Amino acid sequence: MRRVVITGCGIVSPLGSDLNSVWEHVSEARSAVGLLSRLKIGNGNGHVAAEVKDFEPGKHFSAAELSLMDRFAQFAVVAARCARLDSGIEWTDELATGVGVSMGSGYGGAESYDASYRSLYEDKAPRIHPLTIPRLMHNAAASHISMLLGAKGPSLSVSTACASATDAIGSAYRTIQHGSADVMLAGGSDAPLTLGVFKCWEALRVLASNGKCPAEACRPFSVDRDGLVIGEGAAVFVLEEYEHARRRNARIYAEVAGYGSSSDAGHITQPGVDGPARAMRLALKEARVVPDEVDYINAHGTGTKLNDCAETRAVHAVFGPSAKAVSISSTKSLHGHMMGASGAVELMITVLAMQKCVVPPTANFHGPDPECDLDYTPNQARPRHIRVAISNSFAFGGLNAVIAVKSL
Amino acid sequence: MSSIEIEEHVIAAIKKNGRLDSVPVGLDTTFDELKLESLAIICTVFDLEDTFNITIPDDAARNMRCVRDVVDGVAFLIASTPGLSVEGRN
Repeated sequence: MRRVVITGCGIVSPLGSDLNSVWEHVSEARSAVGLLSRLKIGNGNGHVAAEVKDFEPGKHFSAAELSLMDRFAQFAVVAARCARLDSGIEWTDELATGVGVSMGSGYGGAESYDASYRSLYEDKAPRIHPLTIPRLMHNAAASHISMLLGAKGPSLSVSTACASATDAIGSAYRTIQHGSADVMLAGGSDAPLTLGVFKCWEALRVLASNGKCPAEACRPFSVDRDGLVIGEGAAVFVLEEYEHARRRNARIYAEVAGYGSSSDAGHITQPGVDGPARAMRLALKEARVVPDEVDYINAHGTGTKLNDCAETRAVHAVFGPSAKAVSISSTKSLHGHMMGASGAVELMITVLAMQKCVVPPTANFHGPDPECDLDYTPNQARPRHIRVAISNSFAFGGLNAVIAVKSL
Repeated sequence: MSSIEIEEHVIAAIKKNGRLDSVPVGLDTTFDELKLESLAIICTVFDLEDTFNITIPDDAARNMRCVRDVVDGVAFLIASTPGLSVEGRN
């Protein structure tokens, strides 16, 4: 089976849109969660979110391009361009058939849905703008990346809620492994900060309370955690077949060594333990590593009561006596839950951590929960050589995805 | 509304949606000559429906080949829509 490595990283996130500023935020445990400013909800007071604040679409796209692109597709293309630049890879028209795209998104063009339905229901408009479908379709991110970067290989979009990006990366990894492409632009993108999506989440009663300190709203594994914080953004990797990367002397961040995917076949919202544990075991088995070799787990760690307990139990189930020795963190405490982009952003932070030999912290950790009894790297980054790491993503609907990465 | 005014609106909508700022467009200019793609045509139709508060049926939209087809079609729809003001809903 062909080996797959990460040779480029691009990101648009609440923590910034270049790798240095993302790493600064992460290593200093500086949260990007704040009061929601993009939209007004109800009386407009006290809602928190992790917003991308420095994004100017006109700097990246022409008016003609923008007329076709929802915010989630804009994020995706900008992240993909950064990833390609970071990897130094270029391809001729002839080689473009060996370059594919695999993008996750939970919501697709949420802003376009929201705006068009608002005009229909609220403004009583007699018709919808003709470009609404091209803007809102889930595959728009993958399509615009393929069009604007000239990738003509196999492309797909994946929608497995919070696991979307991780499944998209896993799928891209398989595509290269099996020889259907040499290079894949893979990741996730979501821009779900619309009134409609926000109210849907609010109704589930899983959002973190407004709190007096917005930056501390998301507190994964902490005894006082009370929910998740919605974020937005995108992250895209250049995944490349190992020999292909070596031939062009590419810088290699890490090897994608395993991908585990499982279903709870249980409850639509309540997280399982067995399903996530199986996904972790499958990823480790494929990577040919034993739990002792894993130095870091970037947890799904949403900050809800249920997820963090279930994930802790799953780690215990897989790692047994070594569970307490592995460094764990949830960087959602810093960048919120970026939904279909989460898995890509978290894997990117994971490979940066491997490069820097530093374990990212779980910010806003105010004290241990008896049911969450592992080492979550509270509040402060910690030096550690990371040989193998896994990044967990567990979706509503009980769909679980785990990527294992190895340092080379 | 005079047909000249309609013509001005139609040409402006075609130029906007086809991104044809500097291209001369007259009554007998065809969509083929302008290399107007289908997406630009349906966006033009949308703008004209919005401007004149009319509904252009799918078959009429599909059969438009030149600027004159559009101007005549719009004039006909305005004339056959009772109580429609010249300014439409704008």
